[in-house]
Amino acid sequence: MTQEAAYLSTVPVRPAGGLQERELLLTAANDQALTDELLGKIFHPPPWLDRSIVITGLLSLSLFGAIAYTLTTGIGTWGVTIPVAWGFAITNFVWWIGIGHAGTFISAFLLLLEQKWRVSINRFAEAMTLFALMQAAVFPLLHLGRAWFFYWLVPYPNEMHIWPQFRSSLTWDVAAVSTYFTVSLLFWYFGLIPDLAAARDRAPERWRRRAYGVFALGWSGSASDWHRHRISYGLLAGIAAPLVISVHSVVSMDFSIGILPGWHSTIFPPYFVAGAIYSGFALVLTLLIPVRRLYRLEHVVTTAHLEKMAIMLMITGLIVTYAYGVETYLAWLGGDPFEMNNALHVRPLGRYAFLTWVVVFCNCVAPQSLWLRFVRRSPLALFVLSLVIQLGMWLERFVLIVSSQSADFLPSATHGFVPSAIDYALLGGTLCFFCFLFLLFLRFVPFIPISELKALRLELRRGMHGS
Amino acid sequence: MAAELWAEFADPLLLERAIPRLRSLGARRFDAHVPFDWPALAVALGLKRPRLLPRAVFVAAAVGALFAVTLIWWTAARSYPLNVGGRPLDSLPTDIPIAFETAVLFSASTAFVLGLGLGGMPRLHQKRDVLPNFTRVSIDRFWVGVLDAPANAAAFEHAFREAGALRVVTLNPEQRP
Amino acid sequence: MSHRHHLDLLANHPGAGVDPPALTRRGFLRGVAAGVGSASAFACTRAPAQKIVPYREQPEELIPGRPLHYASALTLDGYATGILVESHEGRPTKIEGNPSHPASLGASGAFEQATLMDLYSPRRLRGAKKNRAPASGAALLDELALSADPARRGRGIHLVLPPTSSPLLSARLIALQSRLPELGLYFHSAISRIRAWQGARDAFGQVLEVRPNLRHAQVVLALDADFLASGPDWLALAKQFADGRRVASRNDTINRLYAVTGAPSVTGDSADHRLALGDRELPAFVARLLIAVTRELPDLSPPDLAQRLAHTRALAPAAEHFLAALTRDLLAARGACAVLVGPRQPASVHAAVHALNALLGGEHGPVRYAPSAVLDAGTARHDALPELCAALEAGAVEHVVVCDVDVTRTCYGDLPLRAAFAKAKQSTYLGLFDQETARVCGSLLPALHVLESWADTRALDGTTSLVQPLIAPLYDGYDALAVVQALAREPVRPSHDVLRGFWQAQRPNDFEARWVGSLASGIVAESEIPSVAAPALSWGFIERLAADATHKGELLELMVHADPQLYDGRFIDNPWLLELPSPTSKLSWGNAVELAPETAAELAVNNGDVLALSANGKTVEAPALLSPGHAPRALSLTLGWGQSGELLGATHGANAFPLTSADSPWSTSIVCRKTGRREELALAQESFELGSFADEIFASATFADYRAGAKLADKLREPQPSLYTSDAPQAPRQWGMAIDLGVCTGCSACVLACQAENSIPTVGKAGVLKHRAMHWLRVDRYVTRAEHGERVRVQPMACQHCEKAPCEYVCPTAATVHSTDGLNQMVYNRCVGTRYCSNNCPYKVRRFNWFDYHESERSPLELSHNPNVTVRERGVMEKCSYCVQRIRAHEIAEKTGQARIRPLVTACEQACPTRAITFGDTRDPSAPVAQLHASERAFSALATLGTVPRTRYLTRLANPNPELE
Repeated sequence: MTQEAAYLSTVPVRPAGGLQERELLLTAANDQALTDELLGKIFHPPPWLDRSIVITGLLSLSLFGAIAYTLTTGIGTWGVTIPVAWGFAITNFVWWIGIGHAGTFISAFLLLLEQKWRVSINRFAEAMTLFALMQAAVFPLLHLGRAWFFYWLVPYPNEMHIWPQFRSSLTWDVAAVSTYFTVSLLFWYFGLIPDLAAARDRAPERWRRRAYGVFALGWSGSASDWHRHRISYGLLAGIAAPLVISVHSVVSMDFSIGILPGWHSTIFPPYFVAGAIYSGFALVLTLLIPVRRLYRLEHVVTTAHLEKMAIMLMITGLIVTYAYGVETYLAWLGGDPFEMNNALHVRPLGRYAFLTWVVVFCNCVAPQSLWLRFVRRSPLALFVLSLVIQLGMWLERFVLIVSSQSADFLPSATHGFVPSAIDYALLGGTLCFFCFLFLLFLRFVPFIPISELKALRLELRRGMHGS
Repeated sequence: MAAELWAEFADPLLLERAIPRLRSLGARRFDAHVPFDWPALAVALGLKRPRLLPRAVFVAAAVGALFAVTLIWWTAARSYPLNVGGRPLDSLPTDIPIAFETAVLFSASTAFVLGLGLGGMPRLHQKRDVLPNFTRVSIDRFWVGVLDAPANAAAFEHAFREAGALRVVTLNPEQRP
Repeated sequence: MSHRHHLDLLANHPGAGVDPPALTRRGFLRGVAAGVGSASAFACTRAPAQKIVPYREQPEELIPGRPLHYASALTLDGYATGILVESHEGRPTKIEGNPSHPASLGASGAFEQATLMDLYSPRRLRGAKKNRAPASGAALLDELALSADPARRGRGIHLVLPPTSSPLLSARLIALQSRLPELGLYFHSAISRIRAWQGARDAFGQVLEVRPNLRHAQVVLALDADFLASGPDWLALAKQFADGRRVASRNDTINRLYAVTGAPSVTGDSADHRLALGDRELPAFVARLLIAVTRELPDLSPPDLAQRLAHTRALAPAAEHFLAALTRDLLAARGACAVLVGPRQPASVHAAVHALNALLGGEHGPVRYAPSAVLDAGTARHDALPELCAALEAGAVEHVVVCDVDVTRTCYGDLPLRAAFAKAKQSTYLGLFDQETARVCGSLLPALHVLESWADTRALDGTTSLVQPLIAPLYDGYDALAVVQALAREPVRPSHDVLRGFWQAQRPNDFEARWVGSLASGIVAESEIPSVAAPALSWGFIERLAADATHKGELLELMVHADPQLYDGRFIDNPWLLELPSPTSKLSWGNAVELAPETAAELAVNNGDVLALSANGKTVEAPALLSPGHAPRALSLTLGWGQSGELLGATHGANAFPLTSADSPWSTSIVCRKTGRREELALAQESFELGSFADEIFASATFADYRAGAKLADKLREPQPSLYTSDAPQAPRQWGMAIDLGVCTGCSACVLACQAENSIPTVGKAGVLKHRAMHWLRVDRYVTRAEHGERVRVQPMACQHCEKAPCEYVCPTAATVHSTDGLNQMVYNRCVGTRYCSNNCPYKVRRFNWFDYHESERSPLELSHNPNVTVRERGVMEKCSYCVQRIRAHEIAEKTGQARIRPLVTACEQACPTRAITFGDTRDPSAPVAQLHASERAFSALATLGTVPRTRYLTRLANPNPELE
């Protein structure tokens, strides 16, 4: 047996991903080769990339067109009405925010839990978080009747002593979402600096060296800097972890502090957080599977990674399923006629019954296939499943928001919601804009954390020497 | 002002082994420039766990939360009291979400700023970029330096070469950035 | 309004606004008032030149910004309703009922309120036309004079007018006839009372108007009579009926209402017992009733009556059961019961009802009679269009002159009047709008709006009112008087002078005082026609009743009704009325074929399926609308729709006129088939089922239980526990409202009053289909099926001004907060439009400005805006404010110690014919609202949510006949 093989057999294999660490060792000859391979992805982008950037960029114009039209003409251009005053906009907002959560979850939680396998995918996931948040942020602003006064939700000093009304969960939203975006950005950028330095030092063209140089902030890899870097990164992770939980809890309160049957429920915070991470992991898979294929990264982002995420999907999926059950059960247990009407009639049998059952299929039934190992390890199956789950999660929010409003207390005030073309344009537009930003990220930013991989490599070698 | 003696390694493990030898020769203050971070390095160099950083972050969190609660109380109950839905003018439970978020914002920003700032970043040029072939520090070269090398440090230099340094460089005070 | 609009207006019609008013002191003051703003500045230039007298306040007191109220009167089909018009520096902005007028008693209906929209309608004729080309009105009048050659004794001249009760016009017409004996004179109204008059003639031998007084009636039977929502004196009748139904304590007594109607109606909804009978069965029902009653009172009726009515059509068992109980009840209440019948029913039924009232009411019964105030009431002139049509087709018409009645559109379907008009050598139309008749007439004279003209008119009981202008004509216009003067070849003098002259001639001695007094109070003193008890009956009508009562028909029956929004279609371009949901079907922006669910099931028809109705060779298509409680085997359709209006753009709804015919104007046998097309119905309310929420929302009980001391709606009365203790300061006054569901009929007058007072925009059919109607106050209607027919509940629903308002704490910008006097305030300027308040409002009474509605409003409609109410911009929420502008004005008046302070009432309260709405200070023990809130009948809708509404409802008390329960 070769020396390498001998090393491998002695590698202390954590259940969390021995396999992929082996593969890393086998492929990358040395640090330089590893660095060059990973930086090569951005220095010599694949030919399809620029084309797709242009296409998604053009498609994103539909978003800005729709925004302009809404701002100039009014919210009346949407399908919303009385009683359904919140429609697509808030649905999209909750959906996009939720998606963001997986990024922070992967980098923060798994870092604290010392899950090494996160290394290959965390930056990727964090970037996804940022871009998803940008999409999300569009909607709460745009859905205002007078969007140009959005800053009235912020307590700025003014001579009239008029302040936001802090009992409203919408002001909590402003705090939560803005904080979440800032912290995610800092966290992501902070981890990125050493790799930017590497890019600076390896970039073929002068302008790249300049650009990366500026963003590297003069990183020189001195031991004391590294030391401080690790501590702060740990702190940031420690801060970001509870933040993830808090943000979607606050978002869920947008509904649960209301008195609407179907909104007024105390289980919303945990239920929403689980749902958020659920949809987030789904999107990570949706993005990761094609990228690892196109960039030939199967040895960095391995089947083992996919399987672990599949398991995460399954767990969160089960939590969500449980939440559905509890929500309905509590409505029945509470005995409030309006809650019961909503849970036992309006949703399962009412105007939006079909969508309700689609949600149950997508979010509760479909993921059960993950009990099968070959599904968990089949990129194609996971890719399809991830799309199904995202559809399911979007519809979940739609049904929750719209059906509850469409029939609340007075039978005389019931009415349905029919989305307008602008509603669809906004949803589709944000999807395109998201892809556009994400492709730009792939084009210019080292999307696999290089220095962390190198550290991982060393750790393994040390393990060998120890034997 | 003492000169600095710097040695370049290709292998972090060799670098690790070199440091104890130099310490036995009387070197006390070390620094290193490396492409990535591994726990043993800090131990070998004898870097202390920073005390300021975590405390500053904690204080920032506390200040943030306090600021939020005070702001809400002042705006709702003092500056412009209004009867909103027959609710009390100010009640702590409704302050919790914003207080928490503000705490997070303050502390995270502090961690970020200090995490870089204490190391003198942002900078337009790097520390010790006068060292030869310094650009590889971010890739696969590992420099370790004795910061309190005596004027004639032949012994140190020898020790470095013994440990497998690719090259050894002396930085005189005037060369230092 | 903006200067731009002002200039458009001037540009569109040179001459408008340039002629300055004679500079009286008031004119001068108005000039001073011009500084107030371009709106009032514009209004100032429109001040009427003649001296008019303000109601209660002297013109010297005119203070810019403080409205004056002038009395005037509106006339519908010849019968007047007294109004007070609020005028801001010469700009009428709101119409209210005149408390001293017997046909209003201070209340006002939807038509009265909405007349304002017609005044400012952009679609009004702006200048005379000849063959569609601009012409001079004076020249056209000269042509009239020319054609009216006395030598030819008026041969070939035909004049069509709406029925008129105007003393002046009547006198002039009589004079004109003596001058032109062969003049053809016609009075046309689509909702003609000719059958009622004939019925009176058959029963009494003379034409009499029925003048019921329901205040002390114990039992009221309404036979297809919607007396709570239509008719010349419905405002008064509704009040009398409500007074007889209002209970303060458990010892009171209340009346009982039986309604027999084909289609659901406001009266049917408020009835204790309702029987759904088509027009075919109704005469039989009346015949049976007559038999049953006379059997008990043999000495008062011909002995052979029973056999003479023997062969009447059989009734269903349910109807017979109803009839039996009803008869016993009527006889028990003999002397205190009234039977009312609607104008749609044949003369024989009217006669029979007169007989019934004579038998049951007796000398001092609630129903009394008096000669009609309408000119030539009951004569052929009111039903002579066939003659006109024949004359036209014979080519014997020199000049046909139509004044203010869209005769070609509203005549019977079997009358080819439209085509016939082409055969007239000359034709002149005087009207406000470019209606169908206008399009077939050669000469077009723009009419003056009633708020621009001088006239006199009489109410059903003869009370005379002087009509005074509130604003100088927006466009040059003429009135019927001018036409009559021209035909009489007199110089056309200003109506003001003619009117003054006429009345001076009546009362030469104390004229000036009476004139001023009449203008100020809105009624001419002692002008009422004294009423008499029923004269001796002649039973000659029995044969005709027998004939009508045996009428058979296998085909489906179509019942035609006046439209609650458009009446006969004259309001086709009135945005307020178009968007006002029908009180019974909640349909707006169109009409529909209403039919019972059972019938719909037979025909396999659903809501919105377009049906093709064919009768006497004509076919009309209209969407179906299922209406529980509709008579089986019958359909009903309202008049007035199916014409193209400017607001409607394409025609909406179906025109029912083609299906009518001279011999059966109100109900015809039709063939109905599905076209397979569907049409969306602009329904303001989707679901009429209370379902499992009934006892959370609405409280009702029977009067018997209430008297027996049963506890009412405890669930909605108990205060809910709350965690919150509000430390907010409270003013000594705390405003609140009480709505008595026992007397609310759901007539929806309040909805329009609110719209007018608060300048609420309309959103059009597309908007209503999206459920974006802006009404701050809506009337919810719930139908629950009981074993004896449907039980209907109506509930006016506006902001409840909750003390623990769910809308307030979710607003992120504190744009909706509580005032110290308990108002749930909407701060438009602070609203960013998150719409969370609406989501969290359990009553769903908040309305959102989805677009910039007021900006898209066509000039000069903006003149109708209330200057004391903010015009809401796009993107802000709005809702009922308890008419806060009136509250604050009242408080200011108190502070400044104004001499006469008008009582503080909200717009809805003021309009309400039954006084169901009471507003005031809940902390003042002497205030009615406080007493009502304390009443054991008071409850809060959705009280279990702990919102603590300031609007409380009074439990609906039904008074069912135990025999029918």
